[in-house]
Amino acid sequence: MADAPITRATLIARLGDGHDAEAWGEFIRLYGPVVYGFARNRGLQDADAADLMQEVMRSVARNASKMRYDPARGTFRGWLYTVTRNKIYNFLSSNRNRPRASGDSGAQERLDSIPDKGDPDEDWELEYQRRLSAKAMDRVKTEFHKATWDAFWKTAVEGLPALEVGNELKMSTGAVYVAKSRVIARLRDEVKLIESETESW
Amino acid sequence: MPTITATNTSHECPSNDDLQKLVRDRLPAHENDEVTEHVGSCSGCQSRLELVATDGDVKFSGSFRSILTAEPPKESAYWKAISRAENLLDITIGHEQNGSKPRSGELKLDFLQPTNTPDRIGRIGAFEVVRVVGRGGMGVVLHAIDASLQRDVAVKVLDPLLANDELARQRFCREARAAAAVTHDNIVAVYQVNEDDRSGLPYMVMQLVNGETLEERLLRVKKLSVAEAVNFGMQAAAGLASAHAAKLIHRDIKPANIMIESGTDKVVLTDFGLARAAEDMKLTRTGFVAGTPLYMAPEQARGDDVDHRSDLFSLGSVLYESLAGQPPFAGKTPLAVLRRLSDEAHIPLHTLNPEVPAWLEDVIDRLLAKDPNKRIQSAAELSEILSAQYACMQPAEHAVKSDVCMLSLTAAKFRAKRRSHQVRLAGLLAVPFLLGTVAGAAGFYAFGPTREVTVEVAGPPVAQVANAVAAGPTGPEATAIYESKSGAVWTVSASKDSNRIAMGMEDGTVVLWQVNPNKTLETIEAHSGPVWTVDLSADGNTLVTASDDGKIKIWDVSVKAVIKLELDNEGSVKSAALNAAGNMIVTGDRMGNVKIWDIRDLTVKKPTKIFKHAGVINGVAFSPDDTTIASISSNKETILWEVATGREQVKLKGHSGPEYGVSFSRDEAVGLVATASWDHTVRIYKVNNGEFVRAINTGDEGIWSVAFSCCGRILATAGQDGLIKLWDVETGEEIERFTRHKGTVHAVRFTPDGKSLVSGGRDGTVRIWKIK
Repeated sequence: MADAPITRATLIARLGDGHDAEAWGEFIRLYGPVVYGFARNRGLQDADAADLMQEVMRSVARNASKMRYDPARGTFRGWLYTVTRNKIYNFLSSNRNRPRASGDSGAQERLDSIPDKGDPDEDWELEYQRRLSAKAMDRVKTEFHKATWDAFWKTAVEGLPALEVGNELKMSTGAVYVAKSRVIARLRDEVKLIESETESW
Repeated sequence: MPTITATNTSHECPSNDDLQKLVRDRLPAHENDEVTEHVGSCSGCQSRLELVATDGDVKFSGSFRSILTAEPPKESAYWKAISRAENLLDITIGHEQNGSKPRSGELKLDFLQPTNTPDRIGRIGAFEVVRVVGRGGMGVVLHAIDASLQRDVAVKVLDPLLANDELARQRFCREARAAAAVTHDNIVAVYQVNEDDRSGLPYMVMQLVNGETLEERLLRVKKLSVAEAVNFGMQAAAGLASAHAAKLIHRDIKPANIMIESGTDKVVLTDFGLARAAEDMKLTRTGFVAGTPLYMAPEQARGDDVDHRSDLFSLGSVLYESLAGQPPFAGKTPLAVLRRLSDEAHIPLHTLNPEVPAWLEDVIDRLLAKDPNKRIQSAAELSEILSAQYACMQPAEHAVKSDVCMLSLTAAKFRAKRRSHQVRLAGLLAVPFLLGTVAGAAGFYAFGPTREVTVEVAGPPVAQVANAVAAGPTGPEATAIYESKSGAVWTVSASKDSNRIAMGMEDGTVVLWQVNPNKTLETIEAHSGPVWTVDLSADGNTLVTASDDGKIKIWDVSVKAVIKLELDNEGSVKSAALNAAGNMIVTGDRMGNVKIWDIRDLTVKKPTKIFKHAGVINGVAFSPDDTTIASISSNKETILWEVATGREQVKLKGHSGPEYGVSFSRDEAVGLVATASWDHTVRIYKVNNGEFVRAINTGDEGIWSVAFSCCGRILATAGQDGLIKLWDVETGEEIERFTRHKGTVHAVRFTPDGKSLVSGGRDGTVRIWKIK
């Protein structure tokens, strides 16, 4: 028989060692908000989404050392999506059978709206992209002059018009656009880097 | 102010290319301002600019608007949950993962069978267990006694907790297979692999190394001395070279996998658990990495294709840590390590340890190159470089103190400083000139005669080196170039008509090249290790090849390469030569043996004579009349032997570094032999009585190869500095130099007609040069 890939990935291997708190911290800070945000998006309340996130992480921790990765099954992120989706499914279906004061009639529809195939859906990807962008911003922020960063932040994140931002920062409109584009280009590089890092986990 | 151009262009939309440059801040200042101004007033360009910035991914910046909610609000239950999740690791992994038996808990040895022998803790198979040596990720290592052979062995048993883990079993068995496939002094020997009848656990029986791992050593001493690091690196590289020759990549070179035998300082590579045959490598491509991130090559960390050069990167990291006291790419998290690994340069080694000589820093820097193509290309070459330098560091056993070696190290340091500080030509000339003179003086004290000659030659060539540094690669180009795809060229040989060239390659192949019309006649899969020597008979029909794999092969290459005779040297062969009559060869090996083989009788596969030299025999040669053999060694001595009697005629001492090249002059009237050494010099002697004639100081790098022209008036040298130089034998003056090789030149030879020179080197090319 052909040898299967043995060590899944650095992070998983290190988790498997059972004492790498830093690797673990890094992992949950990236994926915790993704799982939580996705669960909220699927209609779970704050407390339920938080519990579910914790459940998913427990599952990762429990499985870290025996995790077997089959390339045909897709990315690690895809695997995590499947775990999350199944937990949401279980949560919602068990709640459906339980009488609730609020009489949550939307639960069935939400349950049905969960796709059955393994490919992460758009909401999950959006949560992930959002998290990646936030992380990239944390990393590259210090590389730029404050004015450049502010011009980017106010236009791209807060959505203010370039003219207004220019007046406030004493920059020409053109300079605001250029500043924004430079930060975006840098962010794109960084996001790609983080993605390659996480995929090599 | 140049406002006119600004108003002109601000109405014209910039090209995408210009926008690209604008985003990357690569436009000249005035254009930058113009285009920026234009963008401010052109909504079309504002959209285009964003598209350029996101590389056409329109969705990319879409996520920014919702970034403020990328994390849950402060009052969310999320925050408590995430801090509970942070603690999950200890709770969950410690206990649930492996059922009720915590892995980090006490080791259970209940798989051992009881024994009646006192002082033994148990038995596995036929082996009486003395004690537990250690416990790794995969298994338990026991010190045991092999009762039948009465020897101490190490028995590695798969961790019982992993007994039902099919993948762990696979990996365990692969380690055993991998390590057993290679036999080398610097690789742990595996004696057998078995499965315990009772427990069903696989175990392997290995050589027991008494000593500590490099990791333990570094914990104890923090840093190694330069000599220790070079010694360990040289041995680890030799072990790797033999693994690589067997097409095996270790993939997890780290201090914990390098054992140092106490007392002897012998290095043994262990833990081939991640090792893979090169052809298996594709299985691990998709998104997986295996190995220790602190020492991993960037391509390995990214999960890209890994080859033997990834091991070289890891060994570079280990050497760096051994000398710096810290790994080159440390980080708090694996991500941080991977990031630094891919993007950042390591801290210059000499800033962390000023003891490290420039040449060694240079070697380690080259091992740590992010681009595998820019690394030292093979473990064999690394081992060669380190052992040459190590020999220089050792006090000479017999002869003079190695002043020249010491001076050369100092010179190298000066050179490195020159490079970094960009000192101008005046400075370039002054420092080496001084050192050259001092080196010459040292030569005088050490070797007595030839005061004038030594000092005289020290000056001019060094000045010319400085010129070459300033001018870069200029001068004539070769008249013909062969570019191989097999890595470094270690050796070349030409037929009498100069039209057929044989070259020995790093990867074990030998290439036959027809120069005109230009054609690769054949690529022979000759050996399973680097080919150190090829020698083509004058008629171009017989070829001798010798390799690190311990084999010497005689080929009939008149039509297509057919093997005529295969000889087993029982140990790596460094040098070989065919005599003029074509009936005899001489070989030199790593164990100091010089052997003569009669190749007329194809049934006798034993040497007819064995001479005992010492060290590594890096070169052997027949005198033109076939009566004398010269052997040169890493022990800094040359011996001339009488072929007929096997008697040692004379021992030639004087080099202060290991010797790498030897050549007899073809002019029988004069009868000279030249030896080239890592000490940068060539020494010329008379063959009949061993009288020292002259030394030529060739510059400030080690010499790999030397060759006399047919008439005995010109000498060619090639070396570490990538230059080929021609010398007037009478005066010791440099006549010409060829600068076009892009790296160390390993071999240089005149064609038998004396009209051209053939050279080959690390850049994988063979070049032919016209001689005036």
